[in-house]
Amino acid sequence: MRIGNNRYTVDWGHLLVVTVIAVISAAYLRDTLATSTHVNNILFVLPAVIVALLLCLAILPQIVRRVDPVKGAREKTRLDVKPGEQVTTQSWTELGWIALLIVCFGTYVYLLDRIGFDVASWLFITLGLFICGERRPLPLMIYPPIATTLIVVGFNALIPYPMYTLIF
Amino acid sequence: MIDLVASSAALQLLASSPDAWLWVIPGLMIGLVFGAMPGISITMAMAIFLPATLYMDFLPAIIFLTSMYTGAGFGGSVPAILMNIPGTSSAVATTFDGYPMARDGRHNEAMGVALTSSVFGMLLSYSVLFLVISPLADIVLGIGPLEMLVIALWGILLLGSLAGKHMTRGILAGIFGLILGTVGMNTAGYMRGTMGVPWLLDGIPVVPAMMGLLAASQLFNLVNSNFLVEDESKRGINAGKIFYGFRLAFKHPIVILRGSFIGVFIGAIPGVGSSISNLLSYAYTKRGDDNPETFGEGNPKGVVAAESANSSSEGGAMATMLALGIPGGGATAILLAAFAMHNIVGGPSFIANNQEIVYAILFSNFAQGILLLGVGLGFVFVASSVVRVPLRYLVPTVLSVACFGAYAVDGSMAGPITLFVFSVIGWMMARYGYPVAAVVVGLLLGGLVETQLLRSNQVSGGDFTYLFDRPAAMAIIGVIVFSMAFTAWAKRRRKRRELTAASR
Repeated sequence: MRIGNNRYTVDWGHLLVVTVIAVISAAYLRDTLATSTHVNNILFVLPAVIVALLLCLAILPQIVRRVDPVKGAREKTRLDVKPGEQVTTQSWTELGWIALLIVCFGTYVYLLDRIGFDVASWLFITLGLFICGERRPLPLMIYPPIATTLIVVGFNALIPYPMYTLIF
Repeated sequence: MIDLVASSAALQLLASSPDAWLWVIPGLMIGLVFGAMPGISITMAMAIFLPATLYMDFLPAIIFLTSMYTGAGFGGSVPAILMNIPGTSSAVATTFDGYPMARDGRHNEAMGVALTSSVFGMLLSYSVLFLVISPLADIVLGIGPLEMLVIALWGILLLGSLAGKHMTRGILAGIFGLILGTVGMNTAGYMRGTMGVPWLLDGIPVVPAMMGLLAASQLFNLVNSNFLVEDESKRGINAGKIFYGFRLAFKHPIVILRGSFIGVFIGAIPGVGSSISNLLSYAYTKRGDDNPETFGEGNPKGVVAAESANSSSEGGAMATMLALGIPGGGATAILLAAFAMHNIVGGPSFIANNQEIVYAILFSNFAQGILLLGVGLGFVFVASSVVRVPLRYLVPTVLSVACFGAYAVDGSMAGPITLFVFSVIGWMMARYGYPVAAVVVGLLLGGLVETQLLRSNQVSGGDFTYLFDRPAAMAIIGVIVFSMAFTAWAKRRRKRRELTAASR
């Protein structure tokens, strides 16, 4: 995007994050107001959501950044990134592997009480190992069942709740 | 303030019950292991072992349970440092500098610093309690809903300052957490934001959400790395470096002292306690430091501040439990249950009639703190080996363990689902520089803030001038204003110093 002599870029990912926060907050306020407009219901939620929405608006200018034609965008390598710091320079390939792991993790959670904690964990750890870079067939075959057995047996012994499993 | 007769009776009681001491080491080890396992809270561990104490005498039973509590106080910081997963909510601030230290290959020092600060924070807190347990009880009794509200908001405002570069993002994260923390049925009986999901009536499950926001979101970013510590030469486990960490902690005695005092007094407040004290201590250490920009990048002072405060909170919570019979959290509630199982009713009458038992518990906790130094050292040695495990094995395994841990909270799928949802939210927020820890603390305090606001509104009849009748609340607001002004002044002073240095 060009305004005058300056070029601007929009950080679409950041815009998505701010939009998600704003939409969740607004939807929550709508549900709260639909429940009741009594002071005991809205005393905290109403001002908190208004402040959150105002902050979302205040952050919007940070999403549009001016491109410095001289310096250019200084790219950080992945290892420069510290916890809590803005990470926007992962390559598309790296982002792809992260997205794949997130999808696998979601599927794992979905399958836990459908195919059993043990089988789901075995499948997830095998796929997780592959996604994280393990390509040797032997570790891919040996490590997941051992780790799954330890986790399932350990947690079964520790927690007082029944756990749906197919084998153990 | 100290009852010397009761103190000597307490020492006699401890000396005449050698079997009580046999339970200290096993208790500490159980606490360390359970505290270090995300999702398996110390409350659960104490609940599991509570029936076993039925067959013990009163003192050994309480010493066994308090040893577990003591061990867990430090145990929670082990995964916080090594994997950015706070084992307990009180270890959130430990992740801020502990994890960067570990990723920088300084995991040995970080663990040494954490263990020493933890132990000395705890020892100081019990020393303070020994002197002030009775007056502290009076102070806690004087705390009303308005004071609780102001303290909770204090924590959230501090988180805004912890965000670093963009304060707006920090405050938005905190308020977003607070909003999410009020989902479900509020104190007045109104149900909001449940989307028809029955388990959301009780609110968003905090422990799985915390694990998702802080741990899983970080683990996703490690997919393309090989080891937690990239430099192979720094991956070793070195006793010398752990001991260096011990010494490093003592280089900052003011930070330990300040953290311990914050821990004792904030920890004594039921419901707020250690979740806030570690953040308060961290924030004040960062604000008062000459190089605040080094915090969050592996500054050992951050670990000292967080650990001394969260360990000393244990002493504060014990004081409230012993003096008032009010449990500050799950673990102290289990201790009260253990009291009841032995036909002892906690509360003001207990402290008045059984002062020697109260002192015996304080003395034994003091001894537990000293023993934790040795037991914790062994534990650190074993736990630190995690940096040698390739991340391709660690990431899927820890995600799986986190899932089981989330399920273990209440035995329903609510835990794993919350874990997943918040791991995605956490990953996205962390990617754009939002402090996810603020969301965590907001989630923890959302319900409390709303409840205290409603109570204050009811007590005052909606009259804002009620604030002027509450000197403690006014004093806390004064501290908040002063600390904000001090931060601004310190920032300006630093900028001026930098400009002067640049012009030379």
